[in-house]
Amino acid sequence: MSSPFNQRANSALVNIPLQDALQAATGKFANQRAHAFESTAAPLALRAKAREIRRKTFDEIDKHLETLFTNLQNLGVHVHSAPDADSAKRIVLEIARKHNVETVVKSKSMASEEIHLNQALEAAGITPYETDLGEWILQLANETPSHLVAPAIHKTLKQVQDLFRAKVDPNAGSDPQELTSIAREKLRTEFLRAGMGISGVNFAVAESGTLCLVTNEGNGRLVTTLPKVHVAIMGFEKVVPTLRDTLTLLSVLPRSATGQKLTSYFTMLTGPRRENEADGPDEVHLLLLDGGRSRHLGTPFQEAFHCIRCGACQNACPVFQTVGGHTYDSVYGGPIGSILSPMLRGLEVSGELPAASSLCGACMDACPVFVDIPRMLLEMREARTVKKNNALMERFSFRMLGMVMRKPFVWETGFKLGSVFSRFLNAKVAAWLPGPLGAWAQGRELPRIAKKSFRTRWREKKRRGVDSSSAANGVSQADSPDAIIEKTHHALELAHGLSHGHIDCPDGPLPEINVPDTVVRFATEFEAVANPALQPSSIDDIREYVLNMAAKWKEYPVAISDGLPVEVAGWLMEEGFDVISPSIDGDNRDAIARCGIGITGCDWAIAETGSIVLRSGPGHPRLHSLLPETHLALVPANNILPHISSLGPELESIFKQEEGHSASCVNIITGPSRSADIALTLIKGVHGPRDVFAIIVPDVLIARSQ
Amino acid sequence: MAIESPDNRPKRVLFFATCLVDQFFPEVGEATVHLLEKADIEVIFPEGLTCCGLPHFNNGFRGEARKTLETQLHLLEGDIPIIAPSGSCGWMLKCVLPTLFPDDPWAREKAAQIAGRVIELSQFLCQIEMREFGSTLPGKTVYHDSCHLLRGLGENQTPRQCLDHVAENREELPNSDRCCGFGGSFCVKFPEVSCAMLEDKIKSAEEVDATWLVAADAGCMLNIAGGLSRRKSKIKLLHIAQALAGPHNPGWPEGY
Ligand code: SF4
Repeated sequence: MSSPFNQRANSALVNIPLQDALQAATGKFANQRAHAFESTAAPLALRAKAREIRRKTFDEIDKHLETLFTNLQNLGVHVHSAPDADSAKRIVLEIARKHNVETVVKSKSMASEEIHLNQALEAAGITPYETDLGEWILQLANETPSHLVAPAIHKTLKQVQDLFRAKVDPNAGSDPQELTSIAREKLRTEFLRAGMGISGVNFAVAESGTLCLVTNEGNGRLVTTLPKVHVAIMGFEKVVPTLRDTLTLLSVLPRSATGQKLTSYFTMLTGPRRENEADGPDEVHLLLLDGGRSRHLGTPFQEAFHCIRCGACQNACPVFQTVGGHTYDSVYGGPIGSILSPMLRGLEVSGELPAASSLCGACMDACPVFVDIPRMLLEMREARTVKKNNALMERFSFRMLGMVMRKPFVWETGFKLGSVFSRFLNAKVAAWLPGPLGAWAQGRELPRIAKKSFRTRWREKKRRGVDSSSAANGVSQADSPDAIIEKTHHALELAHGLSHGHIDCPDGPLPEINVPDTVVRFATEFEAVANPALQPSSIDDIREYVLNMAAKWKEYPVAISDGLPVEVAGWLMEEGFDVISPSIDGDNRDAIARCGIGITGCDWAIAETGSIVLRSGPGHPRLHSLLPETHLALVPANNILPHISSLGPELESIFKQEEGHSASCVNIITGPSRSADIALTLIKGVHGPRDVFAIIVPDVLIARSQ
Repeated sequence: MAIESPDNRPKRVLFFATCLVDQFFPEVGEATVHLLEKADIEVIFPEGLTCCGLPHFNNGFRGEARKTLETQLHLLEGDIPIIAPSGSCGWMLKCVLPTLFPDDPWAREKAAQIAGRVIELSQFLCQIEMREFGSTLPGKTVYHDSCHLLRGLGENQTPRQCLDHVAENREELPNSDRCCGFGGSFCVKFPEVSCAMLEDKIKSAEEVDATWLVAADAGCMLNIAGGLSRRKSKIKLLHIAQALAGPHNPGWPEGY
């Protein structure tokens, strides 16, 4: 009887479309990851630093959680903690009932998958909508995710099309772009009317109470901006001590996940909407789910919490590449899942998973924070043996084998017998045998035990030559204790098991790539992720750019944020455009949703990634850069910072300030809203803008216009 | 290493033949001995050595692994290098052995001392700067990175460097660092998955039309050999020691 994993693996192995999809997806991601780190000054040092941050966090996890909770509460965020799935579901339902919520929009949250939240919501008469394109497809198909970052990689284009025809639109075509547009339209309606948004959390910054989301489609931003109530669900492992640490982790996460320097959106949410802000939720809840986590703190499995859920280990794993995520029968599949699943669900349920690895170590090699998955797989196997959770036969055979190994004479005799026996056994016969021999023979000829073992041949050779063996070995000169310690240290260092050897965390700041000219670099990088950056030399140029762009959306109003480096509203009104300005006394989401173009300033830009950073505030609604199909940012040349890390002090000054000065949200925007969830085809404009433009405004023009 | 000859080579080494070489690939042991003796190094093989305990350790039987190694510690004592013709056994002795005796200071110290002397064969050959192997490998040679040598001992250079001294034409095997699907008990607990991985490995060697597929671990060899003969593939499998010792020398596989 083949084991449950084997049964699922076998159906995966004969599922041709799945095999094709797996090969394409894992290969593509792994390849992109390999190149993504080339754009950093010192990839290994960066990863070593990221690992150090994760390690240190768990040295003082209590302290960091306390700081996080205090800061969240000071911001007015309601903090709940749930020991298990049932209490977590109860808490979410209570919040929903209090606000008479009928529909919920969700962005990807592994924790909510863990507790099967959707079923609970449905049972309570509340309709949940998954809004990540991949997750929505799975919700329609009533399936579970098969990959950490590409949940629907197992579905082919044809399967998605059939699904859309059956469940959404009978006339759906076969073009991924068209299917995405159908999803956008359908889900946009749900976003605008949902009473509650539920999201996961990528990082929860203790020092500022900031909840961060790393997304590409823009659904995470919509879920945490449009509904009046936002509920974030996470396990304690998401905590990160400081904003600067967060930026370091941000430098490795998208690179390892999708090979991007940054995802389209990095959203930093810090408390509910401020009184003077136009949009954002009025009420924010953080639900801390334990779900079997805390019992592993301080154990050999604590390191599994270092995982930042990038999925790189899945893409690198030859077993995952071969059988896909569903074979693991758990929310968390692949190498890290083979640790997390038994940790959270128990060895009784997921005890087979740690064995389903060849221990090749490719996972740890690929992991941005070097989680020592092979070590934990071994520890998990040991835990299983100790608990006698594995088969009696297995325990018996290994004990026997051990006894034989410790008696060279028995060892030798045993193999001599085996050698004779093996002459009579061929693979065809063996394939019918139960147990290891039969399993071996399924796709391999049986190995032959040598007629003459090495030790026999050695003896014969010695007899022929001069015998000089044992005596010489006796001449032992013990090493000095110091030498021993040095050698041991060397040995344990190597125990980290990486193809690139052991890496130390650098002291002091990390090396950064050289950015000699921030404007030039920004323009190059922005073009790589979005469109050519426009570089005007006069106010008239700017006027022309703006009017040309707006002309493409003639029939539609234009949303314009306050305080732009150059005032453009007047020009547009002169030309007869309907201009929507920020409102503080009411929700004008519907008006913004009708706009074809949203024009914003830019608080900072990042040269090395071509990103635009926007903070929310009076006159700066979050929705202007999110709801319209086109987003135009006026980027003051002076605001362009060289690196992601340069943003550290700026974020500190926003988020660590006293109540009243801070912003509820900062977004790092890198290119348009995008997804590759349908058949790995890159589609722009999934939920947010399809197009992003930047006009770099030189200082002289800003001065002149004011 | 202590007891070094003037030209930076130790006078003798201890050969940890490993259980698989002993019983399934004795030729690999012969080729190794041939290479070492060619370098004027005396080889010592304590006959009481059996297995490094990796099969137990990898399956969660740490106690059994400890007991097995404990009975062999006295055979490994001394101050000469210990040569392992296999990355996985080398990793076990070098990286795991010193961690097996947390409560026994005496054994722990011995284990640490032993671990410090363990070195994988190709690493050793590079360390003693052996360049003259006196043989050539005709045709196309590709190297499969055995996982434990690659990621356990962090070595991907020395096997290639050594092979470049003998191979007429060495090419990179596509996805050379991808596991062949052996994984010890993994290959019989999950035979279909293991065989699918094995097939990928063999296919990539066939795609580049390799004459010789070289591995540095008897575990991978056991698996790959079974797959090659099942497929009736014309690819010929060699252990790195055999590849370096060369045709017609001790340890060359029968029928090649
Ligand atoms: S274990 Fe490492 S590689 Fe795997 S998902 Fe977590 S962070 Fe990524």
